[in-house]
Amino acid sequence: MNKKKRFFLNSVFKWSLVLLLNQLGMAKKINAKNKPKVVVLGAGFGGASCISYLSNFTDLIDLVVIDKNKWIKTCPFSNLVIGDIVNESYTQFKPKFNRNVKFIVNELKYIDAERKKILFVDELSLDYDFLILSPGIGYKKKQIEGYLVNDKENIPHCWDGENNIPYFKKSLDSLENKCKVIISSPDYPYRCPPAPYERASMIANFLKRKKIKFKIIIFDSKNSFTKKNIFLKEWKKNYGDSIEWISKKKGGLITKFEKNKLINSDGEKINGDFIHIIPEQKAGKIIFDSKLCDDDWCKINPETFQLSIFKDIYVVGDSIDAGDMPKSAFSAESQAKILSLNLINRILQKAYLNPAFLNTCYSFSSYDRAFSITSWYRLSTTKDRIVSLGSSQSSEDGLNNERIREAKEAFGWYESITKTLYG
Amino acid sequence: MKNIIFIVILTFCFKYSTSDEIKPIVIEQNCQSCHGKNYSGNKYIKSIKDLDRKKFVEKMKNYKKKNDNSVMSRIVKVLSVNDIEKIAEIIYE
Repeated sequence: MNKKKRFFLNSVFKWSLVLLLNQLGMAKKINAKNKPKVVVLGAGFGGASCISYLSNFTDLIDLVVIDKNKWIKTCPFSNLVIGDIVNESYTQFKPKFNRNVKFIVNELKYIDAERKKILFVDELSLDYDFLILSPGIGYKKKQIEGYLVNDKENIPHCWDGENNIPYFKKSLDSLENKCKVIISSPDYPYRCPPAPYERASMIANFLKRKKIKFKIIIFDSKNSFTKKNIFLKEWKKNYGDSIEWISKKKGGLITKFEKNKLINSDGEKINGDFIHIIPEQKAGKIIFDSKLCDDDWCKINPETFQLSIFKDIYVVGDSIDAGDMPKSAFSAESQAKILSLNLINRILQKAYLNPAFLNTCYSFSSYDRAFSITSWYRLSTTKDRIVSLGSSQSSEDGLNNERIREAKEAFGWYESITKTLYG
Repeated sequence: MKNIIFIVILTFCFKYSTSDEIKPIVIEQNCQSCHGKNYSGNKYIKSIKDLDRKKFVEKMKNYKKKNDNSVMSRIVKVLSVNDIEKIAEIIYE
């Protein structure tokens, strides 16, 4: 046997050995007794999308989902609850996960990433092989001076699906003729970029139904906002001059909060009958409690959604820095599908799929009118950032039938996705 | 020994490498957000399953051509005809 042939056979033998060892390793993982445990924290749109996809692979993995609530209240469409367009029950779901999925209702205290262990507030604990975090948003310590996020004296922000919408609406309902509503909108990034303006529209829809005269003034920490021209035109059409927007450069930046009064960066005092502050946001609280992130938002590998420091912890949705992608339920769901596909590929030791993401953000301006912005996303050439392929939005001078059609499509999206995720 | 290390590294790199191509399944997954897991739609959004494959491709191509600025037109504009054909293959397999 010459030298070349020997080298060739030697290489074939080595390759075969390596592949065989890989196959044995894979078989060991697939063995029922050694199935890797995948734990998903948070059953909002990001977490529930992971569950929906991963539940097709329960012969390969043990799947556990944890949420502090038995009933999931969705943030999408919560503005429509405020606008009296849908009932609160329309946005609440008791998840019907696949029977192979274990659903634990409990509150987390801490994630011990080194020991791959989750600790609950009641001192119970749970081990994991892979952990997917979808905890939504938390709030920055530094807010407008004098404003405390959870102060019960304040109008609740209603930005995270908690139980405050009935109180928010009760306070709105108590407003009298010629009332003045003040909204303070934060700078980017925050959950759902068009939501403060949809919130203003929905408050207007509520007050218009009450048949009272009102004025809503939005003080903005930004000089522009998404779908601005459409919002301005829709406000004029639906509510006349009742909604006014003030940019940062024209005094929109609020620096101080006092009872029934705000002070802007020019020192101007602003009084209102209903003062609604949308707080500054950051990643979900558990992320910081567990020391998983040094910045406001988690840095992840956008191909896999793994944290850079702990490769078995994945983060999805509003808590991550997703590059050009906005923090929206649609984005979270699109990200969750890629995360899940590539987690399964990791477990099966297959090549990762190159991601593509989609987002469509619908906004309502009145009970039957909506418009949207859409974009596809993929990875940058360096694969370290999610970049937009260019966004496009509804026509600025959209006809009535276009707005009505998009309102129906928004309901269509919401009903399809919630049925897929929660059964 | 050096050969073995080299082969192991190569195998590892191959397994975890990513091709630049975006697979149709990655695009198709996003269609389900609005049209539902089984593409059956709902009272607001049409069922895709009720169309046959040929009709589906034809409709998608029309969205691509249209300039009506609807959500579907905006979404489909970015896709190639090849993407559309491959998505159809997945949906109607």
